[in-house]
Amino acid sequence: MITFLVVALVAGSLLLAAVGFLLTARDRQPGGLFRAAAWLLWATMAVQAVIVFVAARGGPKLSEPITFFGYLVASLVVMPFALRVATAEESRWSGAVIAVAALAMAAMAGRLQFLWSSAGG
Amino acid sequence: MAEATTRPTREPMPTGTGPGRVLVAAYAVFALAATARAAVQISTKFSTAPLAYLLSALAAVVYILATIGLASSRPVARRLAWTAVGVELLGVLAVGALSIAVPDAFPADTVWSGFGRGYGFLPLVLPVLGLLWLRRTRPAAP
Repeated sequence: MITFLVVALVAGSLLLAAVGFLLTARDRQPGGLFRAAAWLLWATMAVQAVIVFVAARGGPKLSEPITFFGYLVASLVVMPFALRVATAEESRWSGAVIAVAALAMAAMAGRLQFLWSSAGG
Repeated sequence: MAEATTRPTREPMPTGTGPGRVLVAAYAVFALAATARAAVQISTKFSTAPLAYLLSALAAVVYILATIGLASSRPVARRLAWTAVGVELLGVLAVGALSIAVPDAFPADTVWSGFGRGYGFLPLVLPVLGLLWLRRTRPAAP
């Protein structure tokens, strides 16, 4: 795991979640910029996943490899799903739907970092 | 989130629209997380804590059924959602209380251990929101 990317992912997810909830609170629908930011967050996660996948081959021994890769896959699935749900019915609640996904991504990025750093050697 | 829209409606309101979409999204995330976790636990170390891992699996099924029940707008789905979310609340309360009262019986964590402490107490908040939302959107009594 690249620490810089983890920090960027968690901070970016939390920021996106805050803006998403704010949009809902102010009765606004997410615009193109907000969606682009959500995809940027997803792309960052994808970059991280590729780096981790390469590094995990012959790298440090993970204590729970299945859990780790489960989180890795889940963290990539959540945002595209949420964007689809938010687009299928555009309303003030779309922002909150994306915010929920962003919070989940922040949590999973944190869990991934924890599992990675607790790997031996 | 529940007090956002007031509709003096006679017919049932679909549970999967408006603020309900946020609830469905949250339930879907939990269904994914709980299913994956239970699958890992049962496939890799079932014998170390069978009861806890079976509870994990039960929680996963409940989250999946609740997600389906809330997302669909068919009448049967509403009943499914009531049941699943009700079981979920009972499960969180029972497992939460038991895991604190008799920790030895729960050597491994489940989603519901300690009232969902490991998941920011969301497992305790979600069913309450779910039941409130089902009540708000229900058809008026004849």
